[in-house]
Amino acid sequence: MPFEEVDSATLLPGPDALDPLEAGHLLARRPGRVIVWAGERESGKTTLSCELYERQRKPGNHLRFAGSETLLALERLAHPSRASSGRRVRETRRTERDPDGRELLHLALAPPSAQPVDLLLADLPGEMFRQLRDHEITTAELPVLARADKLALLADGARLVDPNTRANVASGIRQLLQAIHANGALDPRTELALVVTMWDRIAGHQETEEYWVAREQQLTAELRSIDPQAPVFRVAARAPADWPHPDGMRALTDWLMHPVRVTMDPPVADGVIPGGLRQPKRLVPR
Amino acid sequence: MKLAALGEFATGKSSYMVVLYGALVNKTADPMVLVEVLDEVGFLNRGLQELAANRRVTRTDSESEGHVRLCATSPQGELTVDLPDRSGERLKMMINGRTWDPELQTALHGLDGAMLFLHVLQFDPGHPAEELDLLLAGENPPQLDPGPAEEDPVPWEPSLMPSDVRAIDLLQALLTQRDAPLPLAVVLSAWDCASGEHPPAAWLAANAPLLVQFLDTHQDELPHTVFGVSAQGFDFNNLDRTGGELTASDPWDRASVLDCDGASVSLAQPLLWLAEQQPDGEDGG
Repeated sequence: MPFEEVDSATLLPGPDALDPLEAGHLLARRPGRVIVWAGERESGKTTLSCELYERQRKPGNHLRFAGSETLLALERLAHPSRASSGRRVRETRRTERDPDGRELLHLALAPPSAQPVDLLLADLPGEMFRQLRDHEITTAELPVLARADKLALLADGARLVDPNTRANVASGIRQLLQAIHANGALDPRTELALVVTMWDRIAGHQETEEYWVAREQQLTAELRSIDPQAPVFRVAARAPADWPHPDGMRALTDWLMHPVRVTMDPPVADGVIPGGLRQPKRLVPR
Repeated sequence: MKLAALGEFATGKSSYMVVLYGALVNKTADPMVLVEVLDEVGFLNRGLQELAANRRVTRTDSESEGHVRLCATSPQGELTVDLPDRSGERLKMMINGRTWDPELQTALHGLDGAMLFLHVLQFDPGHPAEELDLLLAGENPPQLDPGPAEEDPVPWEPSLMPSDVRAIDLLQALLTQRDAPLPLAVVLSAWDCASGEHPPAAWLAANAPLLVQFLDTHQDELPHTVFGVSAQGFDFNNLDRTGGELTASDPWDRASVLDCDGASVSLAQPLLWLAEQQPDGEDGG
């Protein structure tokens, strides 16, 4: 049966993430950040992206939602956390590699009385980071790493609580960082952070906290040998409703929104790079 | 002034147009005064009959559309209003099917303003998973939750997007089609059924913060305000609990409009506000 020709001008955006070319167009328009969550399977990468969006749907935000070129993709991500999915417990869909390279979610957020910032959140499968850690692939297969403005290395709080799996958490992050950093794939201007996810499972678990504190200090020192200002965030993105502590999401969001330290916002024009300022990175090489 | 009434099925578009027409004909839409009717108004009069009999206005289906075209005077001068009663079903199909309604897409370029209708009782906030049992009370809730890696019992599709996201999706699409600002009156329908003491703007901020943030960050492209509109005047499902005086009054007398801060205003105020947003000399349409 012959295909019916469809005029693309009559179509509304579907539930796809952006490819690098589309993301590059956004970055050329106004200030933006390319964010990469680096972590193994089920460490909470997609949940962080999803919660950045879902929290804007609740009252009392300090940032304002200014739109999304991937609104339906964010909605599809949020679906397993909603009653409309038929679930009682909030879940996050596992990310698979997109064959077309559509792996960037877009969320425009604006501070009070300020222009929006385009956050481009790389939604990459944890399996790729496992392969990178194990040297089964190289950073060439994750080109977005070289273009990251902010790279957050995720420590899986759920695995830290389990004595059988905790040993590999810090070790895995260390190996991942080495794999990214060793062959110069990491842009020296990329800002780093350590994000401990699912902190609500750790907090109050004294033995786990004691185990983790020393390793967190070691990892932080290693990150700061690359990025001296690398922060640490302890995040409970989906803490129970009665969780009595700050969930860390605001501090994390503020870090994402903060201008890249040596970049000028808005982007400087091509070839005009004032001394000491860095030209914003491009997702698509010229 | 070419306007669009944007709203999905049963969000109160037709009811508002009907009761506004009734108010204009019966000279209770002050300061707007009807000068001339420019198109057939049979569907509006049929709607007034329905309201007078305490029955809901029959909604515009996808095959037949009414069209309000009239000339009125207002503080801005003489005003020609051109407002199609666009099918909510078609808008719903457009959002769910991800394909523009050709008529709406074509009309967008010439629009002077729009009214976005949201029904306070049908507003879907996108309940979290934890509320499933509450929502399904007595309706055969599923026994077991699937595991994290298992498929969702209900697969995602665009029709499952909550009301605030559907409105933003629509507005984002509109903005891609226009260069000029589009004044937008957000109409909260069935306002008499809204619980709590929030005025309309505060109700929207509490129930649709994402939409409010979006509108706030697009103030230049979408200058906007919020109204609470009670076109029926009371809930027709609760006639026995409604005072006899109200049920016996004329539709245009029992209908009401509140501005964003909760002050009672003319039934024509959404149109008057849109007229005020027009560049000088362009309010006559």
